[in-house]
Parts: sequence; structure tokens; C-alpha cells
Amino acid sequence: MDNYNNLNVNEDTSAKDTNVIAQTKSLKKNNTRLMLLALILGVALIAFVVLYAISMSRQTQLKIDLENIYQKNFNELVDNVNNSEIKLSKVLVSDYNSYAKKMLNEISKNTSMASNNLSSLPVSINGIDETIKFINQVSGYTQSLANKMEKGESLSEEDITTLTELKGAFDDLKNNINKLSKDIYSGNIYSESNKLDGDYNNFTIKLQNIKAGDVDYPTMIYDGPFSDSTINKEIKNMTKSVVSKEVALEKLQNIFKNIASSNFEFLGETNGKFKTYDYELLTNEDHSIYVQVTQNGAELLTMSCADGNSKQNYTIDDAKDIAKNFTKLAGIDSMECVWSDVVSGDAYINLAPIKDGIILYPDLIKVKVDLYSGNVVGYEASSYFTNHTSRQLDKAQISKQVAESKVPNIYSKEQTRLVLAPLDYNREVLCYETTCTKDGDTYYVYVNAISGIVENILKTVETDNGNLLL
Amino acid sequence: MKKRKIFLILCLIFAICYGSAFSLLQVFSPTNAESIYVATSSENKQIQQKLKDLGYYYGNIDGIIGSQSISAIKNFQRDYGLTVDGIVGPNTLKALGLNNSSSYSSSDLYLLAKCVHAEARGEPYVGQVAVAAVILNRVKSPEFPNTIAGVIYQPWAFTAVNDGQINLEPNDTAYSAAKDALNGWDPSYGCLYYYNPETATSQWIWSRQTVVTIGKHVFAI
Repeated sequence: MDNYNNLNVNEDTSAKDTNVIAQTKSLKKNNTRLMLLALILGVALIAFVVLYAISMSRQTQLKIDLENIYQKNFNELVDNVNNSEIKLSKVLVSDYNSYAKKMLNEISKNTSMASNNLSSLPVSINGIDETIKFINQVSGYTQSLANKMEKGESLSEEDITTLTELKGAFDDLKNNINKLSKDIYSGNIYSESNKLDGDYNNFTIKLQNIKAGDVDYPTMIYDGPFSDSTINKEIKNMTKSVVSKEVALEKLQNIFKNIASSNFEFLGETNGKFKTYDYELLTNEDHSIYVQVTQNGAELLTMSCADGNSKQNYTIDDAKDIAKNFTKLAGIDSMECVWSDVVSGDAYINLAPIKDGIILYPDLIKVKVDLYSGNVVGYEASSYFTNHTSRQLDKAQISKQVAESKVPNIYSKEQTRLVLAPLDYNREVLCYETTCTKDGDTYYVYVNAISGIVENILKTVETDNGNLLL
Repeated sequence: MKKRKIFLILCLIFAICYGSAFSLLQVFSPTNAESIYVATSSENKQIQQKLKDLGYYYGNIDGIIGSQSISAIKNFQRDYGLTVDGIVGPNTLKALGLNNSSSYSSSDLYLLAKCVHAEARGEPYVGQVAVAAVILNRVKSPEFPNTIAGVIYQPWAFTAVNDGQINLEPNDTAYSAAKDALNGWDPSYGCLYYYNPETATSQWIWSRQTVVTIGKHVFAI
């Protein structure tokens, strides 16, 4: 019995031993596993930290690069504003002669660069628009004064008064921007450009201070870019009375006779420079056409339609006839094709009225014809309605031969015709247009038919996307 | 249970390592050494794509001009009145709208088309023309930069420029819309702003005078 017991005890101990060994083994195994895990985690962590550091240093570098670009623009802005102010003051003490002309040209350049610098800074677009406008207008105004002097005219009393006013406003701008510069030179444009509410940021708020609150910038009206008179150009040919949208629809249905009346959908009204009724038409081929008809007199103003087919079944001459017929259908007669071009299967046709043999370029109507279907897919008559009016045209003072003699003989001259050319923004000038070629390039030379001076030269430039007149 | 945990941890580690390696690749991305070879093949791909769009080619866009491509080119040349030789010369390229020989790249048109595509793809065609017209109106306006690139890249002027969508390749519709706007089409009649009332964040934009609504965009002065 004892023996049996002993045996049992022995068995117990050996069982315990096996248990302990197994436990130690599994502990060791667990330990190795843990070690391995820790090792992998450690390596991953180190890799992660290294990569994070690399990407952070890259980000810091990008921030510095960006800050440097902002700083360059801000520094140049201050320089350009300072230079313009000095040159403006020099103009005012000059004898308003050739030196003033040189200065005015330089002010125009400096202010144009200043506007470029200002709009490269991270400012919300509605934050400093008045200042950008002022600087741009100073650039356009000084340029137009320099052009005036170029033609031998002298500055008027009014011009000098405006220049004096300008100098005052520019003084304020210069002082404010220089005051601000010390703060900004410390290199914090990037960090202050983080967006706050809406589109604003601290940098915008800071930069707004360059316009003193109570300063009103002087109004500049001149023949040149950015003049208020150019922007708010008056519409000359919209004198008919306002009609209802039913009358407009009827007019449309007369133009687009092959479209079922159920396929005309009224979209709404446009209340801009032109007031129009807007319709969407659905063709039998399921193409959508967008049309705008003026509220005054129900004239077809524009039509647009996407068109992706570049196959051609019609020629450019067919397209000219199609464009002329369509314009006639829209109620505008006696238009002639004055320019055409084919770009990826669409013909762009420009039509102009001709009065007493003179082509009236300001009154262009542009028609786009799809050369696959022969359909009109675009129509734009806003220039026509803005400019077309019964004009009193001057008689040409020089002959065609004299005009042609102004074009150097290195060009081979093809044809010369009398045109009314829109020049320098709002100016319409009677010119002889001579088409000529040199080295395979086509040029159009415009010689003033009264004074005989060369007013403009356009060059036809072939591009991947059709011809451009530059 | 334990095994599952370890497996999960290993997965996590693998994910971290993979992510790190991926970002490492991005940080030190090597320049494409094959770019010269790719250029000619991509031109062939462009030709195949264009022929496919026009319904002449039904094969794969693989950049290899085989018999299928050649017969497609011949059919195209026949329809467009070109010499039928199966070789894509300057005239055929021009007819395909792939003429890259001119020295003038019309970068303005490309940039304008890119911006239209990024800002207004999915909008009706006329809405895309109007977006292009707004950009051109800004160029003419004194309150904005005076070049197309200046207007488009003005900080924060366009959301799609801000978030990099501007770098997407424009489609034919965007090109066409940009071209129409450059030709003087402006369905917005001088507008300087547009916004999507559903997503606009700026309070200020609501104070502008609305001119017309086209698709999802409100155009304003």
C-alpha cells in the first residue's frame, strides 16, 4: 500500500515536472515571440520616425520656398510703389515734355508690375480689389497720357489736375505700405495666410491697411485699358421696346422651324449688360442648344451648343452661305463674311455689315457652323448690338495708292480695302486695310485713311487650334 | 485568440511598413528613364484614340500601329479626302486635330481649357463657356490680374486650382468652350464671379448682383 502510495507520489512529482518544463518552454516561446514582436515594432517605429522626419523637413523646405516667393513679390511691390511715387512727383515738376513722357511710360510699367506682385500674394480676392483696381488704372492712365504725348499732343489742364490728385493718393499708398513692410519683412506671410472665416486670413486684414479708410481714389476716365468708360461701354443698338417672353418664343420658333414647339424650354432671365430671356432647345438628334433672346425687341443675341464631330461633309464656302442665311433668318440682313477659319471640324465665320463699300469691323457677328451636319452651332451678336448704329462716316483723305505706299515693298501686297477699325478700346478709325504676305506669313496693315499713319498691324499665327490674329 | 492578436499586429506592422515604403517612394520618386520611348508610343496612342473616337478603329489603344490601325488610317484618309497611304503625315495629323508642328502652342487656350475642365466639368456646355468668359472678363477688369495665367493662378481665386484639379487633362468639350470664349462668346455678359450656392463658403459672394444662373452656377457682377 505504502509502495503504491510512493509510486503515486513519484508519478505526481514527475507530472508536475513535465508541467513546469512545458510551462517554461511556453514561457520561453512567448518571450521569444514578444522579443520578436518588440523588435519588429521597434524597427517599424524607427522607420516611421525617419520617414516622418524626412517628410517634415520636406514640408518645411516647401514652406520656406513659398515664403521666399511671397517675400520676393512683397519686396518688389514696395519697390514698384516707391518708384512710381517718385516718378509721379518728377512728372509734376517737369515741363510736361519728353522727360515727362519717359517718366509716364515708366510709371505705367512700374504700376503694372506692382499689380502683378500684389495679385501673387495670398490675399482673398475681395480683400484688396480696390487697391488693385487703383494701381491698374494708374498704369492704364499714365500709358494713355504717354501715348497722347507720343502723337505730339500736350497734356491738358485736366490731365495735370488728375495727376496731382493721383500723386496725393499714391503718397498715402506708399506711406502705408512702407509702414507695413517692416512687419512683413520678418517672414511671416505664409503663417499668416491660413484661412480664417470664409475666405479671409490675417495677411489680408493686414494688407487692407495699405488703403487708408477715408481715402477715395480719384476717378480716371481715359482711352486705354481698365478705364471705367471702357468697362461700362454703352449699348447703342438696344432701343426697341421690351417684349414679353411669349413674343420672344415666337421669334425663336420662326428661326428654329425644324424644332418641335414642345422642345423649347424657358430657363430664366439674364439681368446683365443685356437683359435676355434664356431658352433651351432640344434638336431632333437630342442635342441641347442654349439661346438668349433680348428682352428689347426679341433679337437673337447668342446661341451655344456643344459639338464633338470633326468629320467634314461641307466646305468652308458652304459654311459662309449657311452663316449668312442664318443671320438673315435672325433678322439681320446684308452681312458679308470678312474672316473665316476651320478648327476641328467647325467653321468660325465672322460677318460684318458693309456701308458705302466700307467694312464695319466693330459690328461683327460670329457664327460657328458644324461642317459635318451643316448646322449652325454657335451665334454671337453682342458686338453687333453694342456698336451698330447709323454712323456718319468721314470721307477718306488719302488714296488707296498712297495707303499702299505706306506698306514696305518687302511685303507682297494682295488687296487693299476701306474698313472702319476698332482701335485703342473705344476709338473707331477709318482705315485702309492692306492684306500682304512675307515669308509665308499673312499680315494685315491698317493705315489711317485721314492722316495716313500706320495705326495697327495684325499677323496671322497658325496654331494647333486654328489661326489667330495677333 | 492570441494567435489572432499577433496576426492582427503583424498586419498592422505590415501596413505601416507598406505605407512608409510607399511614401518613401513618393519622396524620392525617380525620374522616368523611359520617357523618350514613351513619347513616340503615346503619340501612336493619341492617333489610335482619335481614330477610335471617330469610329474608325476598334482595336486596343496600345501604341502599336498594326494592320488594324493602318486600315483605320486608310479609311479615315479616304473619308477626309487625303492621300490614302496608311501613313500618318502632317496632313493626316492636322485632319485628326493632332497637328503639333506649329511653333505657337496657344498656351492660353490650354490653360483656359484646363481651368474650365477643373471648375465646370459636368456643367452644361454654355455654363462652361460662361466660366471661361468670367476668367477673360477678369483679365480685362482692373480689379484682377492682367493675364490669363495671372487670373487663374491668383491665390484662392478658384477652388479647383487650389486643390490641384487644374492639372487634370481637359476634354474636348472644355477645349471647345474655352475656344468659344476666346472668340468673344460670353453668356454671362461681363460677369466677374460665379459660385455654386450649395457649396459656397464665402458670405461675401452672396452680396454680389446676380446676373444669370446656368446649371449649378450663379454668375454675378
